[in-house]
Amino acid sequence: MTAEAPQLAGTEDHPHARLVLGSALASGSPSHAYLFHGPPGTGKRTAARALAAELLAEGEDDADAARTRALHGTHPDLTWVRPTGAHVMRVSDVEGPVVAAAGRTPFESKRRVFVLERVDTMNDEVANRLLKTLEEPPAFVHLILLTDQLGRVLETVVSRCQLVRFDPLPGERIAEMLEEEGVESGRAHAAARLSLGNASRARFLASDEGMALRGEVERLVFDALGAIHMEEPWRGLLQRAEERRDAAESAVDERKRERLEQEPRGRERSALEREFDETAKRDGRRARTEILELGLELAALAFRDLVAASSGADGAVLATDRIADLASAASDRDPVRLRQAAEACEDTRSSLQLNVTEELALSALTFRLRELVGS
Amino acid sequence: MTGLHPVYLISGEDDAKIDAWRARLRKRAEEEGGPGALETFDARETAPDALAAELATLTFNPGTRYLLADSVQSWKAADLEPLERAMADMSPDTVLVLIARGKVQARLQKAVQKAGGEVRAYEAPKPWEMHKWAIARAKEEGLTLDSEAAKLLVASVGGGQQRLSREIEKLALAAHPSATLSAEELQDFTPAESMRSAYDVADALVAGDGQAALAISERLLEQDEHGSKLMYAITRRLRDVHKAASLIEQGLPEQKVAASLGGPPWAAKKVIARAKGADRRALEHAICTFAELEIDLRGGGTTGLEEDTAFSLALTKAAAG
Repeated sequence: MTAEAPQLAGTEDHPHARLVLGSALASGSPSHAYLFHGPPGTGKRTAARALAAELLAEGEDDADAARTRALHGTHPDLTWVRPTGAHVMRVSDVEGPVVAAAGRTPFESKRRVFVLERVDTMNDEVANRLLKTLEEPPAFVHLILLTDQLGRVLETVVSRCQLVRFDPLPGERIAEMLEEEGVESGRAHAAARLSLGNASRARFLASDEGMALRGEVERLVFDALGAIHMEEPWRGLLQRAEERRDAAESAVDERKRERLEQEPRGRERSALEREFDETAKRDGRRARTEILELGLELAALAFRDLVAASSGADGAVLATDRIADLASAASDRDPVRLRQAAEACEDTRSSLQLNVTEELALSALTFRLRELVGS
Repeated sequence: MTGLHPVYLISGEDDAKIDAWRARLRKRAEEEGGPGALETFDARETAPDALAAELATLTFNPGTRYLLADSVQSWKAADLEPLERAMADMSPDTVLVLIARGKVQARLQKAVQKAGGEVRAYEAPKPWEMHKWAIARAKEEGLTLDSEAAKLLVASVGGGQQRLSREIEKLALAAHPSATLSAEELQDFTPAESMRSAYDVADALVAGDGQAALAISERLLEQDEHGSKLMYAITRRLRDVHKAASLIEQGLPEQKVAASLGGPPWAAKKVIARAKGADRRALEHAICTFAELEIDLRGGGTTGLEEDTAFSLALTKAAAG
């Protein structure tokens, strides 16, 4: 490893991450386990891939080729684990792919790198399987764990890793990025503020699909306020979630079609087909859940904005492109009840993680909101 | 000779048909050889070679010997050879019945056919075909159910074949001497207590009769229903009635209300009738209560109560309005 370590992609806006990882690479003795934490969309995944590429390229005759393959996810010594459950990591996600594989020597590099996403979804059982590997891995093994919610990661896991912090991106920085990508300024600023430092969420919120989702959320909120009346104001939110699931499944189906074109008939093809089908279901389910959760979080933020607007604190409003509507809707509203409405949205969002009946949960939320803030 | 094949391989998911096969075989064996005449084996504990050895064993039984091996899907194809040989050389007065749940090994099928046996597969009806299965099952009991009645029955008692079968037997007895039941007759058919469904609990809540709701639910819980299962049907009904009440309040004609509810016309009519006298606020309170119950039952609550107790308490709270 050279003393002049490369500046890793994904760490541009994160001085702490840049310092920790840069020094580790420069010293030639990187830690056996890192835990990257910070809000979603801050570059953790990009940085993990870049770090894995550097670790796997070290000492290789053709370092560039090794780096490129790691960056493309095709290096045989790089294992990338995503939880297969919609809300949980399963034992099977780590047992074979990580715990067993960590005991085997690398295929071609001097190291093996394991990246585990969303480790906050690990329960005690999964963590217990992983602990020995995490504590005393073979010298050639490096684990990079990622989470958006450090507080939810088991302490036994946290204590065995070196923490690398990815700070939320400032709203202005995200808005700037969006504007550079061609998003109209007003929309870019509102999306950036509503994203709470999550660049990928901001990008989604600034898209037409994101704007449509915001529209559905507004209907839910304005129905609660009594400004409009809809029988099931949450129905549109569910439809958006369904559309998102279809899109995620179609994306996997497209990859499946391309991949299977090269695969001859036989057992391996069937296994591959099954694997793609499972991935499609999993990705679809996750995409659907993400939209529902985002919708409810936006609803909570909308009530928070109403509290700000009702108190005359327009500068604290996140949906800056809707200030006029918010101010008019907020007049004469009780801020305590508005805050309770925001909490009700958050409670419903949390309950979705328990796999409750969505229609029942959303119906109940609608009634509660109407009771709390209805005119 | 018995007039039977030497070997039968019965497979599939249709529990009712497979159970009927087993019962017929036991009856026949016991009629011919007395109690205990059917020799039974659990394939999960008896390997193919052990069963082959049993087939080769001489007995003092002068009549036909009946052997039944259950769960043969657990055998591995590689272990079948001794049994294949034994089946090919079976005594003429022996009948072997092999039962497999789900799919069965192709090698075993071939061996049975080669031994002059018969292979029968009974696939379980798909959920959307269950009402047709119920019609056919009712016919066996001399009862004619129309399609809507069968659908209602399936919706009321669930898609489990055993449970449906029991309900049909009870209905056939209760409806006697009538041999035909329509959906409306079935719905109004009260002698069989088990036909009281979660919808009745919901209807009692809608009518503001908390005591009746609790009484019906207690009876349902005694019949091995579970609070979580009842809760889904109850909330579905409550939400339908709430929706209908809301649309009626907006001045929508009943026909349009029925269309927006979906489902069979008689069911929509029933919901609309309930909605006319319903207290929307009370319904909303009940729906919110059951939403909280669901969170509780899924581990998100703080009560830590056992399922049926939590359900009964929620019902009391919902009834309080």
